[in-house]
Amino acid sequence: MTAALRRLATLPRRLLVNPILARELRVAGRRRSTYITRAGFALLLAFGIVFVLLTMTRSSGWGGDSVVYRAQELTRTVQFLTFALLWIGFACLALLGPVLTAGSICDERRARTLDTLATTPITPLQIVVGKLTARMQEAVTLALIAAPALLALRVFGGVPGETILAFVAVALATIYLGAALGIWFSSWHRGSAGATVYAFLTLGLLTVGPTIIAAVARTQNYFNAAALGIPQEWLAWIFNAGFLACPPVVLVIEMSGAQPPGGFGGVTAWLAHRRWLLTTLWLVLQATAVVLIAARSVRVQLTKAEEGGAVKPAQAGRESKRLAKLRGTPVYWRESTAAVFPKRWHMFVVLGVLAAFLGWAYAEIGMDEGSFHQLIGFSGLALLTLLAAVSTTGAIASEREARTWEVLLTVPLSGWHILASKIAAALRRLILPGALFMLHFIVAAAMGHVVAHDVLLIPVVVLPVMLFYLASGLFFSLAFKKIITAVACNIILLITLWIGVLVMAIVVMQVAFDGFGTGEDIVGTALFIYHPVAMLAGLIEHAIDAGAGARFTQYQLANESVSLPVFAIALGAQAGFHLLGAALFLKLSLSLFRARGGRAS
Amino acid sequence: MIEISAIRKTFGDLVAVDDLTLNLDAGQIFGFIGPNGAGKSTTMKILACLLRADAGTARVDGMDTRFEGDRIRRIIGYMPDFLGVYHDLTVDEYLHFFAAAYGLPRKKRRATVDGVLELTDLTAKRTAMVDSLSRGMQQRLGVARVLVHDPKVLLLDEPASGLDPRARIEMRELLTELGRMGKTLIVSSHILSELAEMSTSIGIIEKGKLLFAGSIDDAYARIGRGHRILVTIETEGGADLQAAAAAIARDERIAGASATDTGLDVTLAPGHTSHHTVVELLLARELRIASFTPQAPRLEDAFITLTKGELQ
Repeated sequence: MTAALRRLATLPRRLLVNPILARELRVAGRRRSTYITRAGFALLLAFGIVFVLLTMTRSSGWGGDSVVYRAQELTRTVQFLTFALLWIGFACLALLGPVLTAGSICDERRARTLDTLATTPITPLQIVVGKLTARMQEAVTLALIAAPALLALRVFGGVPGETILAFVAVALATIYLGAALGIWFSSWHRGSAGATVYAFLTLGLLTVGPTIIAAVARTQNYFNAAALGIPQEWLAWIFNAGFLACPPVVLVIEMSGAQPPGGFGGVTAWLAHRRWLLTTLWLVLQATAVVLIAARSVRVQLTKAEEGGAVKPAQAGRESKRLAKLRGTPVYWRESTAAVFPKRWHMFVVLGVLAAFLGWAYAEIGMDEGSFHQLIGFSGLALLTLLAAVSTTGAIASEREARTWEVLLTVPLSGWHILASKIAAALRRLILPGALFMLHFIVAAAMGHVVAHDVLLIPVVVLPVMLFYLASGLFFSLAFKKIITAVACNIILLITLWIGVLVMAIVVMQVAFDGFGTGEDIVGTALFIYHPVAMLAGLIEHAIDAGAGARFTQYQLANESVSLPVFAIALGAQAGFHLLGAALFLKLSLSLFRARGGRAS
Repeated sequence: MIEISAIRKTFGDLVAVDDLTLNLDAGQIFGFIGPNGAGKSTTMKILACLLRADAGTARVDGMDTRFEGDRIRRIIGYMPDFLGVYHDLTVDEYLHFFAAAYGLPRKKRRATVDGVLELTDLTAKRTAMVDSLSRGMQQRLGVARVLVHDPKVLLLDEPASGLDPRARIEMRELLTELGRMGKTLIVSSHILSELAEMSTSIGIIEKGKLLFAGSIDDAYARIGRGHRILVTIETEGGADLQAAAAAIARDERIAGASATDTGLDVTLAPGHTSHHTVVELLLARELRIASFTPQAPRLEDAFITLTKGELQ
């Protein structure tokens, strides 16, 4: 008993003072990417400050004579600045979690250092905690970068200290969960790109899922407070707890300063007023559970006996079918026939969860709900783009990491053949999710809820966008040695083009033209045509309206109502832009392949 | 078949290959010897069109590696020191993949793959996943891979590393057989005795410089190391081994002689290979020979002498 207690007492020290952590910290200190990330984060915060200041000073009359008015404006500006910093920080840190750790165990396995670690007395939990702590240290460093600005702003008042604390705590807890998921998926997934995607999807599921369920349960009146024997406001509070699982939602609640329902006393009342603390605790609890699962998964990896011998007869049958598909494009064949899921049952689990969720959504919401189609459209586009953004980022980098690249370069396949095959195979692997996405709209069209010709136009929006990010991913895969760097760069490109450009446009309009003014319509329409989400939303909106039998047959292009030919031209322009971008990235990739690919001639 | 003329390759300040010149005919098995980081792999990569030499030219079958990579790739088989394998393929699929990559017609692939599997004794493992193979099996698979397109030139970087003794012998026999088939092989290895047994010529490289290239006998001649013979003498009659060694060493055909616990250690002078000389000298001193053991020349001696003597 005493020994057990002693072991428990020394557990934190054993976990945190371990060689894995020391090595990770040392290596991170040597990595250029560490400093680039910090500099990039600082730049982003600085950009946020400039953006808010410009917007505020242009939109308000700071030049007024009234001291009281100027003081009010100052307070308002400080408030906006603080929230801008907090939100930028939160968004970056939340997105960074899975990226930071998704390669941690994959890299060890690929470098065959995991086997070496297995021969040491280091426990799997120490490995996981060591790696995670090192990454969390980096996250805390990033959070500290914002601290001077936040402290300076506090001098001018604006946002209560507890709100800042709430943002920091929720952000760090979110990154902890994301990083823990990253490390877990890294422990059983072969490639870091796949681990990143799984970690992001699971993070989304764990944070957004309960919120959606709570929202639907509340609106559909699933539970009756009287039948359950609890006060109605308690039931409302339970539903609210579902919202608390989603960090951005709880932060918005925190910002709004909304009061919790009454009926609580003592500690529960104190906690009810600090919803952010509950969210933080919930995230930390989930993350800790994931850490323990990850440690178990690493243990399995460490102790897994060498799988030898022949494959099972069923596999042999599949294999001959697989070989039958091998024609003159071996790289395409290998890439497209590679298993998407490490184990077959993983696929069934994912498909099962998806089918259950969609089945529930169809049953509850129904096909006649227009916003449901918009939600599916946006989610589908976002998911397909995200999958495309990570599909090719490991195409070359993984070959380099596995040291098969050198061998591939000695075969007489041209650079064009290799690169085009990689993109084609990645696109081929995305056919299934793409087909599922389209199936929703095809069924909706067959049931008469949306018009068929608009459904036919959906791939014109989605496919070029996917091709663009497949090509850019390939470029980054060639440019960087590490898959995770390529993944991060492509996701940053995606965020920049989808969000950054919009923000930049607003800043430029504010600075150069003193607000949108007369150019508002032109810029707004241009941004609408440029943005795939806006175009898809416009398309689906028309599909729903026309499907519902509305007389209105015009398409919305920002604030303009246009005819089908005009909308089709806009659609063509957007597709052309993305296809041109894809071609450019492919050309750049080819040049990079020739210059640095590894062939002398 | 291979003509390397004064090639030089640097990586920053490091001179990996320095003014290296080498010519190999078809059917030669060239053993490439050198310490780690000597420039063996860099030379092989230049021949495999993976690296471009900063100066000089390298030709394979008359084709310049700087400009005719596409044609050269069709006639060479390169096996790097670290074999990267596609883990998600079976042995059969792995070889079919490369057969397709080399443009083998579909109808020919099955027979070709079957042939190389048999040649490398991997037929029983054809349905096994590549990552389930042992290191030795993976090395064999690497050799099988470089043979699928029947190349004229094989560049094998440490093909025997990680193999057990039996597998090493099998690998040696396989490479000798490939040499007999008329293929030109450049093989690097740290196991010098094996290279000595199968190579028709060797090259010793250190710090990027080719210190020696030629036959193994030429290497021994270059280091002045003659044939060595260990003689056991019956000493019941009170034979003075020290005196006998000194007397024998004075003969011009003898490079050196020393007394051991049981007899004499005699080395013939370079250019002299007749063991009869030693017998004659011993009998002339009325020494009774209990045993007479000629020692085979060792490539290690040439390697140690040449690499230490000239640069270190």
